[in-house]
Amino acid sequence: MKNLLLGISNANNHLLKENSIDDALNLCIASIGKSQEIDRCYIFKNETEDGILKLYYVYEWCNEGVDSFLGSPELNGVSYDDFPGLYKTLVNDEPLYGLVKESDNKLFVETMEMQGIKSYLFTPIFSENKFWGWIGYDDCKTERIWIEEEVNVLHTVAKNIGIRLNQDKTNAKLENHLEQFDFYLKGSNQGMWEWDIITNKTVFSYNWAGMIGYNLDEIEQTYEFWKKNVHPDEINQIELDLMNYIQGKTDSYDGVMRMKHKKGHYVWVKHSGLVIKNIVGEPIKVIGTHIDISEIKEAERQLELSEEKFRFIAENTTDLITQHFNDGTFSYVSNSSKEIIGYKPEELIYRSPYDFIHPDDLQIMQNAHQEIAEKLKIKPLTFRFRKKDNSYIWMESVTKVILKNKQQIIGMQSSSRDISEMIKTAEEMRLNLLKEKELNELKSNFISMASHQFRTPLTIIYSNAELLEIKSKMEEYKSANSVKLISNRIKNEVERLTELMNNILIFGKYESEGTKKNIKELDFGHFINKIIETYFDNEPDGRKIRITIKGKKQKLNSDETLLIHIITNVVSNAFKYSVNRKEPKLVINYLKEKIKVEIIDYGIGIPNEEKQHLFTSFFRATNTSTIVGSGLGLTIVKQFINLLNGEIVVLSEENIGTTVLLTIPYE
Amino acid sequence: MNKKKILLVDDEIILRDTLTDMLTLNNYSVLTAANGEEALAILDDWIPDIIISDIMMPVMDGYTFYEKIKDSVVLNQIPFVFFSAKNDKEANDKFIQKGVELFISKPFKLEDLMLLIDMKIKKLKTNKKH
Repeated sequence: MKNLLLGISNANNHLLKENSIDDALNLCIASIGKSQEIDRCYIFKNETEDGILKLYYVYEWCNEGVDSFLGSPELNGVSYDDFPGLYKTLVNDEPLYGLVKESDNKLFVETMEMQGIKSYLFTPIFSENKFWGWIGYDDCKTERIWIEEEVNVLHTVAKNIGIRLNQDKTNAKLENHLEQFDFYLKGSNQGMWEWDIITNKTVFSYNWAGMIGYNLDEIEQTYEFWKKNVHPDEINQIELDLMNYIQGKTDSYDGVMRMKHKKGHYVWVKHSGLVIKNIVGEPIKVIGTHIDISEIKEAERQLELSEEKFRFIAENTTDLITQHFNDGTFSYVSNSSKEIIGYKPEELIYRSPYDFIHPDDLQIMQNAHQEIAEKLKIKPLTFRFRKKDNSYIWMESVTKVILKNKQQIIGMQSSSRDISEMIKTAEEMRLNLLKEKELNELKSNFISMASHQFRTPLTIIYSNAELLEIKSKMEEYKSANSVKLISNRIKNEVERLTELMNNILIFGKYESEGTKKNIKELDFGHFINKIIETYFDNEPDGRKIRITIKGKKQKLNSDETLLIHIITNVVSNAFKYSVNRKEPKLVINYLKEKIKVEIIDYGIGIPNEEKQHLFTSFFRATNTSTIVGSGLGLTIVKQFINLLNGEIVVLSEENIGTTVLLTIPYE
Repeated sequence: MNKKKILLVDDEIILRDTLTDMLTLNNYSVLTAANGEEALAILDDWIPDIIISDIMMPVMDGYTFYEKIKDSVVLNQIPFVFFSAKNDKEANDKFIQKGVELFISKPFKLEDLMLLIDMKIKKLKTNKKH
């Protein structure tokens, strides 16, 4: 018994110690066999083949001089059906033993005797509660009787084998799982690390190394390796965090840091850790992960840059940049809004642009809003927008939709510009063009009318000259009167032409250059007297013009030349249109701010309907057909009096007379 | 020989006098009017062999006067000549379209005027013959 127990003990040791199941079983059965003076110790394994449960002779230990049957075909692939008794016993976890010759299974006896077995003991092996196989012990020398204790102990060994087999199965499963786990782990972007605080031993995973560009065998699995590869700006803080966490001062260890890649650049890594404590609560180990977030970091950076760019443009442009929710309300308004429309961005957010658009332009906006949902962008819009001060400005807007994932409309973006100036300018230009056109028309009219005015005098001169020729051939030419008549006509026309020419020159000069004023101080009364003396002292009918002065004399600052034109023209008219009537009068009235001059004649007057045309170029009233005139006189007077900042008013009644009222300011 | 009768319409009195003298010396009988209205009044009882009219006149201008003549059954056969003092191509074209075939522009030579008058009167005669 002692031997047996020793043998069993050895066998168990083997079972426990040996890594390989084969080694364990072989050594196990060898130990038992040796200790029991058994001739053969072997293990049969059950396998189901084609639905039939069969035996396989898998392990064997033979004593010296005993034949080995390992690999023997008779013992491999034998069906249990041939040994029903064997099966029945063993499957109930009961040992089977006895003398071979006493068995009633003929085949059994044959098989056993073939092997020279006289006495046998079979103990079943169960693994995971299933009939796995059995150990057999052969005695080939004697017809040994097995003692119950022996049987029990040997049965225990079989049980231990069963346990050992279980373990292996479990281990195998575990190994399998571990393999899978390892596979998935490698495929992920997570790296694992472990740091034994006590021994300073560290373990890094395949991915941990791969993240920074190394193969596992290229790196030192040490704390120092990790430390020296963390970015110098971060390592101090990280180590501090780690210490604080381990010491329990903080309750987590995680964050981001940069680790130096094999190639020299830095990668962003998100790290986290978990402290493992022993039974008494002392930290013994830290395990953790590294996740490569470089891509994320880069994407963040790009987004930041892009946001920066957008902000810069939006905040520095003179246009108004706005973003809108799908319903049109403002979601973003650039700073330029204060300058352009008087509102600060915050005053507009969530409000609807429709509240600010001119009622006449609302329909345009609504149409555009609909169109953009279909077409994703629209042609530039022009509309009026109400500023904070309630005035309207014209704006031009370009709008596009904002797409998410290239499909979904999540809003709209607009760039708007104040085009009020542009519109104003365009309108001004249009008006200027119109004016210029009018002016050109007037000018060409003037020219055509002026040249027309020359024709008649010229015709008269020419025809009269011809008349002279005719008459010279006839008797009548000798009559001095008829010659005089003709020559008078000619002289008259030449005078008329001269006046016309002069007036046109004056008028034309005014039109092209604008007459420049030459302001001097004058004594108006004295001035008037001089004019009358110079031009109107010798009227053909001997008439004079009577001058009256009223009011307190004051000095006048004005342009002499212009005044001469004005006065001579008006006085000349007074005489011209009152032939054979009373003498004209001139009244000077010194008022507070200005001089009032009235030139009164008692002549033919001006027909009522024609008064409105009085200052029109080349206009001659219908009652003047017998009186020579250029039609330009009053036109020039009006322009000149305007130049002097004065006024002219004409009062008249046909056949009674005409009064021309001039007002000239002192300055 | 019967003197040919001319109705002269122009608002310039001196021109009327001058032309009357000239035409009278050349054996025409001349009546004058200062504008279209006056001319029409004269035409009520006197039919000339030719009417010569200025265009720019007050009260009734040459164009209007011409329209009135053409509208009159009695008067529209009378040859008509314009003094085209207004150098207006547009206006002239308008009249060419309407069939006023001849203009004479100021100033003119007496000779040319005579020729024109003769031609116009002769034309009428030939037309009348047919």
